Parts: sequence; C-alpha cells; structure tokens
Amino acid sequence: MSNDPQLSLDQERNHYRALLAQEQRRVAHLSMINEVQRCILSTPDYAAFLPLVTQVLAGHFTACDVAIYLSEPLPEPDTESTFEEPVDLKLAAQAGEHGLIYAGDKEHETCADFALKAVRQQRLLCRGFAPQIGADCEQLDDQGQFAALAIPFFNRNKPLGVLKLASTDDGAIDSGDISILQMIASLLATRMESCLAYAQVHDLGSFQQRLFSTMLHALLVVDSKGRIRSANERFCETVNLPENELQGAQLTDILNLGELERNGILEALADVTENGVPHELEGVQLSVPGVQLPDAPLIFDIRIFRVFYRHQPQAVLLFINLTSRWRSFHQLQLMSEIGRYFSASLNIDKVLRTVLTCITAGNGLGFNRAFLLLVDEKEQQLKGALALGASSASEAQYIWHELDENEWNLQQILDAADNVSESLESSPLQQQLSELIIDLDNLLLPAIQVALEEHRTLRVSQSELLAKEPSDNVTESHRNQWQQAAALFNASEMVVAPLLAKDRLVGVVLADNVFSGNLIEDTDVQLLDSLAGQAGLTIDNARTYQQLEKAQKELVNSERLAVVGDMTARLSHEIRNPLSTIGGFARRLCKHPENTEIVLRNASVIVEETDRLEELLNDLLEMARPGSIELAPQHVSEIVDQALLLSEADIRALKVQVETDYEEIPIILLDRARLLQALLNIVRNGAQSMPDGGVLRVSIVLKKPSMVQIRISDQGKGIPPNALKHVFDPFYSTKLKGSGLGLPITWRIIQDHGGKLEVESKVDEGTTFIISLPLRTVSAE
Amino acid sequence: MIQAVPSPSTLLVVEDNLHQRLLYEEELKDEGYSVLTAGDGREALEVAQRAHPDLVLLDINMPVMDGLDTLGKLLEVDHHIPVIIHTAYPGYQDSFTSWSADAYVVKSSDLTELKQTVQRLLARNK
Repeated sequence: MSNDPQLSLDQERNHYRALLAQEQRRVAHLSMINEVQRCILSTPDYAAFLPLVTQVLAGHFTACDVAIYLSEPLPEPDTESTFEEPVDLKLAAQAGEHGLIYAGDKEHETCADFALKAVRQQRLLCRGFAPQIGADCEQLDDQGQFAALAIPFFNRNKPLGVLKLASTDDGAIDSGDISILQMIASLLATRMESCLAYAQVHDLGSFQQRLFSTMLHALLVVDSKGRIRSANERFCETVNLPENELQGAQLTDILNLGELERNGILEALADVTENGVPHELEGVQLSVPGVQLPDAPLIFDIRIFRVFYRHQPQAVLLFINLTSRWRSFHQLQLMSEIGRYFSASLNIDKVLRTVLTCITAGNGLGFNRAFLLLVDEKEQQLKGALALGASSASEAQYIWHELDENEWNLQQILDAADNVSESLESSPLQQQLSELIIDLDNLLLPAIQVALEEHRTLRVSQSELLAKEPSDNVTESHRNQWQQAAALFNASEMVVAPLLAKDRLVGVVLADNVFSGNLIEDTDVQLLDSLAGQAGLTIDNARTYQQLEKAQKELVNSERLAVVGDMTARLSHEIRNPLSTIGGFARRLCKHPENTEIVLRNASVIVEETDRLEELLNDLLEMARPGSIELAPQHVSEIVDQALLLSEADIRALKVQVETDYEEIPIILLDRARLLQALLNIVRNGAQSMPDGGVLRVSIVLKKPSMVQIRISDQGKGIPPNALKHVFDPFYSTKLKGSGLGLPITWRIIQDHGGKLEVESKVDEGTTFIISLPLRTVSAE
Repeated sequence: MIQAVPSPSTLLVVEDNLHQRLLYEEELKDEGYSVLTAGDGREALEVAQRAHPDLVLLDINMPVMDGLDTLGKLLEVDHHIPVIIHTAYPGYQDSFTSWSADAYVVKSSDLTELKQTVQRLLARNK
C-alpha cells in the first residue's frame, strides 16, 4: 500500500477498474461458454450446432474470423485410443466477416495447412497473438499475413478437429482468451464424442430396425397374452395389412385360428413364452384370408423362440416362406406327371385331350380354357383341333364346384375326360374352334405369328393377339379368320405357346382365364411353355403313328385282297373244271340220247365229276371250320398205323413199301379224327409222289423236352425250291387228283393242335413232311 | 361231178383232265376235225413233232403256268402253228396275249365259243 493517499486512491481506483475489467472479461467469457454450451446441447447433430458455435465465438471476438475443421474421416468413438494422423481436415463451420477463412481456395491453402499442422503436432499453434503463451503452445514466426490461432481438440488422443481463429489485429486475442478457447475446444471435443456415439447407436438401431423390417422372412413378436407387439415389413406384406393394424391385434384375429391350432402353433407359443423352449414347425400350411386363393395356401417353416422385453417374456415367430420353393417342386412333379400321361397313349384324339386337360385342370396348370390348333403343312394353315373349358361363366362355376366336391386328382380328371369325350366334341366352344382356320401368313394375328416364327411362348393382351380393326388391304378370307378368332379369343390376356417337334411346327396352344379373371403369372407361362414342349413331341408321335397305322391297314387290306383274289381265282378253276365237264357231257347226252353205251359212259363221268365237286365242297368247309379241336388221351402210333391202314389201297396199287420206326411215346392229348385226316393227306401225297414205286418211311420221334415228331419221307421226284414255299397255299397242288386243299387243311389241323408242319424236299430225292406236336400229357393238362 | 373232199384239219388237244380230254375230243370230232390228244406237255411235244397238227388247244393251269413250257417248245417246233389257250381262269387274258398265243378261251360247258375260235383261226391260216 502507498502512503500517498492521492496516489494510493488513484492506484486503488485503477486497481478496482482493473478488477472490474477483469470481472467483466470473466463474465463475458462465462456467458460465451454458457452460450456455446447451449448451442452444443441444442441438438445431437454436430453438423447443426458447429455453425452456431462459430457464430457465438465470432460474436465475441469481433476482430476475428472463426472456423472449425473436422478430421476426415472422423474417428470411430469406441476404437482404441492410439493417435492416428487425420488424413485431412474439412471445414465444418465458419463465421466472421473479415474474409480470412477460405474454404477450398487453393491460393489460401495455408489456412487449412496451419490447422493441419496443429493437429499433427497435437498442440496449440499461435502466430502473432499473445507472444507470452505457455510451453504447450508453439509460437510461429512464419511471416504470415495475419495473426492466427489453431486449437486441436481430441477424444482420447484421436484428433476430432481444430478450432481456428484468425485476425489482422495481433491484439485481438490475449493469453486469457486462449485458455477460454482451449476450454471451449475441450467442450467441443466432449460433445463431439457423445454426438458420434449417439450417431453410432442411432445408426446401429436403425440398421437393426432395417434388418428386422426388411429381412427376407416374416417376423412377428407376440406377447404372453397372444397380442402382436411388432411385425416386420415382410410379415405385413404377407398378410397384406399395415403394421399399425397389426400392432396390438390378437394373433388369432390375423391368422386362421383353426390352422393355428391344427398345426400346433398356439401350443408351441405357450411353451416358448412359459418355458423358453424354442420350437421349429416344418411345412406348415397357412391360408391368409383374402390374399390367396383358398386352394393355394402358403407353406412355411416356422421357428419360435423367447425374448425378454422389459422383463416380460415374448415369443418371436420367424416365418420362412417355402411356398414358391414348394410350388416349384410341385410344378416339377406336375410336369413329370404330365409327361407320363402324354406318353401313355398314341391315339391322337386322346393325346390332344390329355394335353388340354392338363392345361385346364385345377391341379394341372389351372387355366380356364385352352385351345389347340394343328398345322396343316400342305395348306399352310392352322386348323382348330380341340377346345377345352366352359362355354360360359355359369358353366365354369358348375364345373369348379363339381371338381371341388369330388376332389379329383389329375388322373381321375383325365379318365373322366375320356368318358365324356363325345360331349366335349359337341360343346359350343369346340364347335366354334373346329370352324376356325388361320392361314400361317395371316398378319392380322401377330402374336400367333411371333410365337410360331420365334418358337417362343408369349403372354399377350387381347390387343396384341388381334391386330386392330383390319385395314382395307387385307384379303377377305384373312378378315373372316380375324373375326372368328376375335369371337373366340375374347379374354383380356392369353398365353400363346407353339407346339414343336424338334424344330418343326406341329401347332399352337392358346390358354386364358376368361372366367376367373386371374392374372396369368410368369410361372404359368413357364409351365405352359414346358408343357407345350412335351405336347409338341407327343402330338407329333401320335400323328406319325396314326399315319403309320393307316399305311399298315392299307397294306394289310391290299394283301388281304390279293390273297382273296388269288383264292377266288384258284377256287373258280377248281369249280369251273368239273362244272364244264359235267355240262359238256350233259349236252352230249342230249345230242346222242339213243346210244346207250355213250349215255352210260357220259352219265358215269357226270357222277364222278359231281363227286369231285362234293369233295371240294367238304374240303372248303373243313378249311373254313373254326379251329376247335377235341382233345383226348391217344397213342400217337395207333393213329399213324390207322392212317397207313386206310391208305393201303393206294400204297399197294403204287407198289410202295412202308418202313416204320416208332419211339416209345407217352399217351398225349390229341384230336384223333382230325390228326388222322392230316396223316392220311400226307401219306397219300407221299405214296402218289412215287408212281414207279419206292419206300415211304414213317417214324415217330420224341423230341425232348416237349415235342413229338412224326416224319413221313417219300422217294418221289421232290418239290422245286420255288414251289416249296407254296405247298401249304390253297389250290397250289399240281396233282391230278384232289381239291388242292389237302395240305392247307393238314397245316391247319396241326396248327390247331398247337404244333408245327414243316416240309423238306430235294428234287429227284424225295420229300419229308415233319409234324411236330406238343407233348401234352394227361396229368399235365 | 365229184367234188374233192378236203382233208380235215388236225387238232391237238392238250388237257390233263381225262374227262375233259374225252369231252373235247368227241365234240371236236363231231365238228369234222381230226383230233389228237395229249395228257401232258411231254406227250404234246411228241405228237406235235410227229403229226404236225394244224392247231393246238392248250390247257394251262394258270397259277402254276404249267402249260407255258409246252407252249414255248411247241412254237419252237412250228412258230406258225395257231395255239388256243384254254383255261378255267378268266382274267389272265391280258398277260397272255403277249405270250404269242393266238386266242384265249375260258373253259365252259358250252363249247360254242371254242369251236368258233378254232374255225376262225384255221380259216385265217389257210
């Protein structure tokens, strides 16, 4: 204290003035800090509050421009606190009207460089201001144009940014200001840190929310009272309800109660919430009211597990939708099933019916109507072949009802279609289609043209199928075809599928949903496409087969005609010869009735020729007799002996010797009378072939395991090879006697016994007939 | 005035059926012809070479065509000799006219056509 009161008064006054000024500065600093605090707490969004902070500071240090740079990129709030140099700084906010802060101006890069230097050195940098500043500050003397201060701020060693002030007035900031600014910088650092953490949590939350809401599977949280707490987007889409309607609703109001109970979902929910046991339910079928057709339920795997929310147990239901996978599996099955039906028949009508039935059946492709037109290659036209589907909406209703009632599978529907094929053919729809002919070059039906030319299955609207009103420069017939097609193809959309066999056009199929109005989906188009592929081949096969069958029938007919013609010619010869003889001699009788000798001789000729005709008639009847034989146990050798005995007259007259060689044969089943007839024919033939005598060998051989052979060999002149194959043909005989039916009848008798008659012959050596008979014993029969 | 009676034409009947052979022989003799007969082709050739008939009536059993060899050989002996094919088969006429036969007569109990044909061919060859 000074003794001079005046001086000491002045001194005191000055002292208090200084104290006042100091207090005023402190108040100003405090209010500045307060203002900055308010700014940074006003929002968690630093991008919003940083400009406010620079404004506050610029308002306080009016001689300065203020800038805040942020590290680029900003450090993650929770990463470990080792210092890393920021790659770059970015101006986040600025204030002040002195034009000393330049953003993005190359010429003044030193502005940012200065701040960058501060942050890299992790300490305050000062130029011009407050030369007496402390040790952790660096005073620069780099000839800068103006005074500047850069205060880096950190979060646990990681640089967040730099607070920078610049002024042309070196005295604008003193060391007291600097310490306040440092305090503000550390406030910024703390706040930035919490903002970044907040942002991260927020991001994480919204990320999880996004995950939850957009995940591929439907997710539902249900509390212990069965109320829905939350549902993700996918679930909302699945049940076609907005989330706000779902929240708080009872699960049983949203999904079908019966199905929930039937599939054990309610039971599982209770177990999950009470005991925490997770459940997995596989392949659960759920219908969602008002969304899908009743016959197309959705298929889910459902997983249920427990979570706690505010200490309350809740069940999370994860619905994994397998419907499309299940459907494509079902569709694959369907296609292979359809393929099987296609290959089951080669009858063209049945094939066409099968194709269209598979397209229209509910458990097939389920279209309302289907039309099939076939290509006529000669005429270059498509011709209506078969239409299937109701002719009217009310008929469609009736059919659906009927099918629903009966729950028929595809096979049953196909069988039913076979049974009602006649009524199908007379349906109005069929009549309309059968009159439809489309020239392949008719440009008025562009979609059909495209489908056929590009070999593609198309989904088309009616306007794409039918060109607009026919213009004048089309032919009358094309216009008529267009009108007929327009009357028939009246659905708003249709599928057009070409029927191909390899690369050849067979026809075209059109299908629509004219009555139900159901949209034709991509899968429907794909299914029809692959069905058409199979159908094309099947129809082509059936057509080829049909042509083959026709050709074969014609061939058989012509052969039969040839045989009949041949037979007729031979028969007419056999009848004409005796007839002309009888007639001739009868005429002679009339001419010479007086000569008894001639009369007697002519009459006897007539009698003989009449006998011959009668014999012919008997043989013919024998030939035509149905092949029934009466089997009885017989000794083969006895029958052979009897035949030789009955032929004895011929044999003796021709000086033929008979040699026999019989093996021991069991008693077998034979028709004695007919076999005797057969043997007589062969024995007499053999004897007659040796007019100059010879040996007739007859042997019976047991051909194991199941045959008996009777061999009859002569030493006649033999049969030439070209005649050999005809010896069993009727009337082929070159003998003088007999009807020409002996060997054919013999052949027939052996056939009727289930045996075989063969002939071997060498010219000038002789002929052997071999009868093979099955060894049918009594016990075996 | 004594008119010279022309020597009757000689016909050869080739027919395997005994009764028919007899019938044609007697009927044609009644017409004033001299008739030779043969039961098969071999015999027919022998007779033809020996007796040089003015006309041959040849039975052909059509599907077997057993008379064709005979026909060929007869024509070798004398290719001017007229041959009538006499058969029970109608309908083969077309294929036979190409076989150098002069006529084709289907067998009948009414022999008028046969006799007219014989007469016509003999007259032509006079």
